[in-house]
Amino acid sequence: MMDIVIRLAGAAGQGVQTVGEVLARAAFRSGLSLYAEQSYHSRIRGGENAFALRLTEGTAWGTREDTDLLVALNQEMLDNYLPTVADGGLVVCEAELEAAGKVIRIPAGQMAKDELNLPIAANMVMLGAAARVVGIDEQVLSEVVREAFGDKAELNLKALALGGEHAGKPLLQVPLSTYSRGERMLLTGGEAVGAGAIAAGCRYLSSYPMTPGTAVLTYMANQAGRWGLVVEQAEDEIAAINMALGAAYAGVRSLVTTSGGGFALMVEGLSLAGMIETPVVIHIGQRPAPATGLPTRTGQEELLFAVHAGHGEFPRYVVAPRTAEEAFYLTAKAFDLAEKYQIPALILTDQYLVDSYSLCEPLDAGRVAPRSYLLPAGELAAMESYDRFALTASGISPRAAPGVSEKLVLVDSDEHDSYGRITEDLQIRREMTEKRLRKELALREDVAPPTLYPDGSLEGRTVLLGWGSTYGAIREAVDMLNADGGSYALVHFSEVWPLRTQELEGFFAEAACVVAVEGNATGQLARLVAQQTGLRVQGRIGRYDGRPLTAEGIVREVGR
Amino acid sequence: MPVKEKKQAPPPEIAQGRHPMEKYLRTDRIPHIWCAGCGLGTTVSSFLYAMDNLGLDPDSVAVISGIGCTGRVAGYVRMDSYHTTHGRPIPFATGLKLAKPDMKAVVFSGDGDLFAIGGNHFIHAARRNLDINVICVNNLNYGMTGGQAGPTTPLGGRCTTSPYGNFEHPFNLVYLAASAGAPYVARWTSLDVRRLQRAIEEMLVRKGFAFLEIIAPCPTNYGRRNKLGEGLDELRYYAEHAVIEHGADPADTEILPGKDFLVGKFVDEEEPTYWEMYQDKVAELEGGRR
Ligand code: SF4
Repeated sequence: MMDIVIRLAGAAGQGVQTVGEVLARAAFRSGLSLYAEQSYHSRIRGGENAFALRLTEGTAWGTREDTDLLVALNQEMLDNYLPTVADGGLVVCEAELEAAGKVIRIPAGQMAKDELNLPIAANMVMLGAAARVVGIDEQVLSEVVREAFGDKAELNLKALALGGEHAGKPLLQVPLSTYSRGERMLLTGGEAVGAGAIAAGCRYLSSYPMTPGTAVLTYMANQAGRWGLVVEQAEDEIAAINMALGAAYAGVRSLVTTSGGGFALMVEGLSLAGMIETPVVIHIGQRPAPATGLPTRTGQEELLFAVHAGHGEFPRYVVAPRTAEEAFYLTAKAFDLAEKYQIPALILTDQYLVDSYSLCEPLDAGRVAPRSYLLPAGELAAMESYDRFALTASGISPRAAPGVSEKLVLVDSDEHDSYGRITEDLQIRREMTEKRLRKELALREDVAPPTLYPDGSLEGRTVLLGWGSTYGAIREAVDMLNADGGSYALVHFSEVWPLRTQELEGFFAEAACVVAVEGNATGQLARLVAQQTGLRVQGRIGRYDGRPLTAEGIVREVGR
Repeated sequence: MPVKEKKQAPPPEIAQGRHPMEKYLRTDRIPHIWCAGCGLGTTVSSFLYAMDNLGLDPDSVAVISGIGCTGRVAGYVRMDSYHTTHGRPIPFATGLKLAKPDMKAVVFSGDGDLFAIGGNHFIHAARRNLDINVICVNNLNYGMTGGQAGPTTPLGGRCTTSPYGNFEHPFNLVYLAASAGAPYVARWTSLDVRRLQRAIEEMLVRKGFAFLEIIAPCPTNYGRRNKLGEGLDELRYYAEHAVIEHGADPADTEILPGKDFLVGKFVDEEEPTYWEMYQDKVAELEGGRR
């Protein structure tokens, strides 16, 4: 089966991301199954900026650690990634760089300067060369470049041609197409969260920039005109979440996006959302912490924080999508359940998921069309009296928007009675606490169970237990281990709170052994499972160096 | 989709390149990460020359930065330094100053860090009047994270988070600092290296809270998105539009795109400082006990 990994690497400012995106889009237009991952330093100039694109005839669940074609834009990145080049792999690099092995040297800087009088187009010369070596359809590539650069396309097209000519003949072979145009979508996790929110009826976002959560802020800002969104860049995260609560009180579905550090500032507002029973959706793009940590790297360090954050006791819903496709649907589900139960809902992604490109079937907005849980104005007007926090069997009280009838909609951060008036009546306090917590009973039933891969009995198998964006890596690791005669399975959580425990008991009873595989150092899901069920994993695999877990890495760890 | 890159490649590294202020620099951290044409390098130089001219012992000065391009200053100076979380350099400097009053605390940070997420801390520090120097490099946007709009982005300014142009009124930092009670307020552009140096010298030796705004180009983000040209073009713009008027009313110092704006020293007053009042109180109480 054809399966190649192309790795573009240079310094920040050399246009690696631009070139990578163009290449990925050209592969997408050509119907190739692909996955693309980005890794970069937290700086505007220099450092590392890498874009890995895997093309395969199977399903690409991630990229690979090794490289079939390394395209290096500077010496540092050449040295850095040369060890990953597989046997028989190729290197395309700037003419003056030093490397042993099969190297195709392109004087890209020179050509861009001398022949185009546009030194910055060196990266496009390299792209032309790389595309030729790989055998990407150059017609399609030109089409993508034309769209991307608009009226500045001509020089870039010339740059592509120069690079291609210099590279000569194709040396690799692209995999066969597996779909035709229109049958798939190409998107990043960040775009998927934004699109899912819009499809679910979200029309308001207030946030403060924090990598990698900013991707959703930028996406929404750019979609604002098309969908009639209000996008407000707040002065900090405390303001952001309180603004969102104000909008949600007004009846508008609201989103905030941030990372762990920003979420830390939002925690007061999270607790407020719990108290005033006002829905809000919080996207947390995880990155390594504590504090500023590694701003542009990835990790899974906020599971326990997301589940436990906030003073006081109140229900919440927490999801951790495995792919961009799932990020779309689970973001929409987060909005739905936040509205249905009048609770905060949290979406845990990470830099890896937010910045990676993957394919999916065309997203179906119809499947997640918003259902209104707000009390219609007419019904509200017809009511004799309106109690915003009426005590009900389900714990869910009728939620009305303010200003639609003469009935008042009162909310209070202090403990309050069913009308919304501040109270210190201890009997009411007890009833209100129980009412708020009662909502979790039905919420639990709305949470999807963990999934099992491959299906079948777990008898004698080792279960790798994971959550969130590591799904693809663990799944591929399971396939590799089983192909090697092993007996492994993946149990994976995409909806992590309230934690579904029924299935877990069965899995633990049946499996020979359970190993938690997580992007953190302390095994946060393993700890959550132990806390909720008393079940303990027999082993843990953790990665916390800021890079995503890989299938190869998991297989290595299992072997130890 | 792809963005147009800056036209010029960074200049080649000068082998064995030395900086005259090397004694104040962590040379092992050089080359720095800032873009060619960025205003940050010159502002740091001015600070170092000011230190040198005053003959300050680097051990007597702590540099505290927040997060962002300017936030990286703390990492390049050979002084005790602290790279805080986003927005928090002023509270950290406050604690440092209260616990170790004989150490000079210089906060070096950006407009987003000091005036968005850290805005509350700034106004209270100005009011509190401890001996803290705050140097804000204002480049009109968030550079490090790719050019989001910020609290100083001009109306209409294009940023990644204001693709339709910004429609939030920006702060006039000079006016803000003055109205919050800062007894020393000055503004220069990153072109005015000598004046910057002199202003920093004044700040370093004076008592009380001192605020300096440095208008600096960010050719990579704000400049590029708003078609202001290269770093040099932006500097030329500032050279043509900055009008020196010491003592001008801070209310008149607004910066508007395409219009002249005022630079200079706007406030220089003697106000009793927190530390003086604190010491007086201590002396009074001790006197009473005896
Ligand atoms: S992004 Fe802007 S502020 Fe940051 S280093 Fe580059 S030019 Fe300077």
